[in-house]
Amino acid sequence: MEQNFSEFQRRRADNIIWNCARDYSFAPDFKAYDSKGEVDIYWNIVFGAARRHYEYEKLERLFAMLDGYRDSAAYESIFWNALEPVLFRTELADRPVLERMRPESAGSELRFDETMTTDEIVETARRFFSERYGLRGDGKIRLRYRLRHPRRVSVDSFLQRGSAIVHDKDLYHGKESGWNSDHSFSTKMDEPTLRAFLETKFGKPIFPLERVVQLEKQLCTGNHKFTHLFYTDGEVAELSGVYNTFEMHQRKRQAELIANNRAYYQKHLLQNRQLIVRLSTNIMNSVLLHMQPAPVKANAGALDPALAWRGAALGDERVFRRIQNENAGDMSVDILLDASHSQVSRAEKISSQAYIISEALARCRVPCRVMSYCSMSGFTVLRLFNDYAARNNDSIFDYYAEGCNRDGLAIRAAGNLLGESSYEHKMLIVLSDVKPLDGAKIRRDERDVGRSYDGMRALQDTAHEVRRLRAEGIAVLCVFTGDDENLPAARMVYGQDFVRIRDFSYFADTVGKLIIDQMKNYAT
Amino acid sequence: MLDFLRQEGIEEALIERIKEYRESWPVAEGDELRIPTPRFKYFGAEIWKLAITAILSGENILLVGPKATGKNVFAENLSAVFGRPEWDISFYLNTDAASLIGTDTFKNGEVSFRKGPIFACAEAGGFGVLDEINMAKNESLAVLHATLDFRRIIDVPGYSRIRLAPPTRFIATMNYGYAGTRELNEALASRFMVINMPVISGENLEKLLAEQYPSLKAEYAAQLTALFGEIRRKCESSEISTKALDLRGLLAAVNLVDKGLNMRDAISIAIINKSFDEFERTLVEDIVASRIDGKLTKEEIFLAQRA
Repeated sequence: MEQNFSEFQRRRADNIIWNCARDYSFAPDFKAYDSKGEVDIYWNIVFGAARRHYEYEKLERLFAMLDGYRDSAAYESIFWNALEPVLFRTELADRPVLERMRPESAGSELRFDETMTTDEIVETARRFFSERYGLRGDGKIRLRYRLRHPRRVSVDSFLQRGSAIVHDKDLYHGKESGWNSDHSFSTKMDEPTLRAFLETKFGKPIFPLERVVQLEKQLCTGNHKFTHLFYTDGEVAELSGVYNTFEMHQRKRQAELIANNRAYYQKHLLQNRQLIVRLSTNIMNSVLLHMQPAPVKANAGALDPALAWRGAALGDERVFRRIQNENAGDMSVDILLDASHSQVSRAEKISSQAYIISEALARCRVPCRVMSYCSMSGFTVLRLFNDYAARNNDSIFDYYAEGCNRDGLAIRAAGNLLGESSYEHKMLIVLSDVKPLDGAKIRRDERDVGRSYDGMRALQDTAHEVRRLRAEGIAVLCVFTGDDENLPAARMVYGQDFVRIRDFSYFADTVGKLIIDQMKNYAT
Repeated sequence: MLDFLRQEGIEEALIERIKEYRESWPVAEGDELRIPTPRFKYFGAEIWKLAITAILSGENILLVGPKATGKNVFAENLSAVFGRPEWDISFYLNTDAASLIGTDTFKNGEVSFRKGPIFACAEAGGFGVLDEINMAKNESLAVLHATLDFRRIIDVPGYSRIRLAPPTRFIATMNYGYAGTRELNEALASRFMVINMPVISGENLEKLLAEQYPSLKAEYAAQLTALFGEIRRKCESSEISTKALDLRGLLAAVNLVDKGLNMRDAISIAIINKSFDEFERTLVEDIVASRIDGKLTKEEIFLAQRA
């Protein structure tokens, strides 16, 4: 049922509920829409108020119980219709406007009052459902009730104006799988063996070993001492190095997931193409708008007194100035994707959206490069999908998420790559949930047991790297994919320069906006 | 204005020193018109105390804060309290030395110097409000370094070198992280005392509304304050941009209702429509709808008849 309502209306409902609950840290479960599919403001206020006035976990347990029944939607409606008058009276002092908004109450046989605590409400409701409908609480209905159950209880009969309450049930089970610490190989392998292993896993290295050693000397310092870097463009190496059956299995899964990425893009081909067109039009408009006016010598235009003598003395007719708009400054965009395990569930969306952005930018002739990073066994792997000339954009679909993320080192290494390019304005957009975490510890010297790279320490390290790149004149922006509790971390690391997306369908749009905003800064 | 400071709870000793300051530096004839009479008063004793002390000690101040924290209102209030003529200088991307200090102009057949606002302010001993100082490029602000630090001079190549009149102060404002703003370099920042402007508290906002519109019913002042708080919370949780977080708009909305619009139309044009993104606008509309009855009119939100 949830799918029938547009994303737009769902976000509206979420926002009303958050607003009224004075809390933005949860995913709303119940939402209300009217018969036209638009949000029902009054009922969503009620849901938000319930969050604020009651201990919602206890109510959630009640809903979970009702969930076991075929007619759960109807029971839920009964419950909400009973709670609504109470919430109305409680909330009225704060929002007098509710008086005028309130629809005619449907009434309910179940009754609560303002003095009841959450426990009493839950208890009253349980008793009511048990006595009136014979719910035993385990998904079964007592026999005698079953017989005289009049008819299938219809949701609509309980709601006014044909509205619908939608219960987003996935939320109870939608917990994201966290980082999985189970690694397929032992860190006891020595460095060359590990390099060989990574080569089979991620692709051939793009730099010769001497250069990598040089880079490590330069970059793997401080908090990243004793860690290593691995640069690849994903060109497949021979599968000779597959170590065991577990690895074989992993490899197979990886191939499946990558195939998924492409299939996902194809499935939404039409929308995706439209998105590319829209995005490139937007960016192009901005490019045109912010072109650099440059006066050039011409044979028509405004006479330049300083050149006038050339006309008479040398017969040079180009003594005029004309303003010509040149390209929007000399800028490049680098997108750094977090490819750690936490992104697995949205890999297909991430790759599609990253592809859309780089295609759109390519059409505007803005150089764009996409990279991803992840860490395992002390190595931080930086994978370059395409280059600034947009060759090889298709390989963005090879995006695959695995392992940890040592954000500090990844940003440092990416910044180093950016430093090599000659563009005047450089932009680095990091897609991340800002939860840096890596198994390789922070060690001062060989004997140091070290401290783990996680929590505050890792955040501070990342924040430091971001500031350093900014000081070098690179604009570092973040597209934040984490949840509310991690918001302060994102703020700490990226300052004001992050945008949050709750839905991946907005990734390309969001990045487009960031780029356009940044362009305004550059062009002038 | 001094009475207002007393109301806000500023110590009498400080007020005495402001009085001394005013008496020591009388304003030249013709400049009185530049002394502002603020339409809005800034509420917040802590900030008042910091700024007054800094100015009395001869320092320039930089007011830093997000949108709707009253930076410009406060700057204007300070000029009024100290009774100094004010020069408002808005910074923009192409602000350059000439537009600040002065430039050559043609007068009576010869090239002469036309004073820029900084120059004029320094001569008259006024308060120069450097609005959105971080909009300008740092390089073009370098010309102000000698003006803003202990040297207190302006050197115009080819003309003269003047000393700032002793009561001259500069009050800069900036909104960190606003689109189009840039990082202020250290050299410039070190020449200011930096005051972080806090977000207006609910209590102070109600005071402000009551002060502006004495006949606005307290219950509606409270509702508007709560609405503003809700919009802010939505901005803080990154659901919407700060476009709709507009204190000027909120105050203007009340005024519009006073002049005859109904609440819905007033809030639409004063607040909601400031988000140009359709989706964002809808979210703001929803917050408004869950607080404020659009049909409210002047008769309902204001006390019956004002004197």
